[in-house]
Amino acid sequence: MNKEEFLQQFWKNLIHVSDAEREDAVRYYTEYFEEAGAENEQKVIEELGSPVMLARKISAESAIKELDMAQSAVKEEHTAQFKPEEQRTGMKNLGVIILLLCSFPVWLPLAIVMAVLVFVGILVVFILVFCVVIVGAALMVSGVLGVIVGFFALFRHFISGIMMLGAAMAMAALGILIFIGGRYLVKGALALVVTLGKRKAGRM
Amino acid sequence: MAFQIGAALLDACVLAVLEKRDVYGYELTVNIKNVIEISESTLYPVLRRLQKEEYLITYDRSYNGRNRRYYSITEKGRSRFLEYKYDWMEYKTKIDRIMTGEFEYE
Repeated sequence: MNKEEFLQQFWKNLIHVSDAEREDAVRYYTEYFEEAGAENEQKVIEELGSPVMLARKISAESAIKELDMAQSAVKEEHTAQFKPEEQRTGMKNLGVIILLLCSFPVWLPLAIVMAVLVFVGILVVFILVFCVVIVGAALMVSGVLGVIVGFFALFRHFISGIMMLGAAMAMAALGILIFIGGRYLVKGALALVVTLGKRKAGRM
Repeated sequence: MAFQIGAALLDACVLAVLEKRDVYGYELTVNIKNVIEISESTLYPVLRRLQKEEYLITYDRSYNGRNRRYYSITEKGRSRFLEYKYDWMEYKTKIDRIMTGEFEYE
């Protein structure tokens, strides 16, 4: 057998294969022969074996491929038909809505109370913090004033002046400490409210 | 040699070659046969399959008056090859463990 006979037999036995596929396969093996070179023609024929078997093998592969692709096409259609999934979740949501509507005399007052409690809680926190700041400021101011008064008192009555100065300075120092502490408290309270608010929003 | 190379593994090997550069059919066969024993009738269906899955494309170049069909890997083919590489490492490790007796329950 020579190359032409081989390729002819090959072509003839490529049945159940599209024209394009057949052409492609013959082209591939023609090229194969050509690349191997005329001197290797017999070796190639030996290596390739029977042209009939080769053709059948390739036809089979092609048929399996077609079957595979047809099967995956069918599978895609099947999953496309599963729109009922969407309808089912829709029905569920409708049920939840109806339930909520019917039960609102129960949950609405509870929700209002919860909201009010939360609001009041936040308010209390802020008022407390505000008080701390005010106390701090008051101490600071009186402290400063006391220092001034004490200073002048030094000239009239030394001992009392010293006492006043000392007390006033202590008061001022304490006031400053409380005031600064209060500012941090405010920051902390604000941060707390923000994170609580985020958590509530996340849960909803 | 008792073990035959399966279809998926062959696909991976062809993609491995194509990942480096474009080759034409005969060149690919010779390269692979250098390393593993396969028959000429094996490679063509592999190439067709890879082409159908869009992992490679073909183009023709003329050489010395005859035609050469070149195979070139696609982006899709490159990422599929990465998956294959990963799978192969896993597979290789597992088989090695069994072969070297590492699997025994103490």
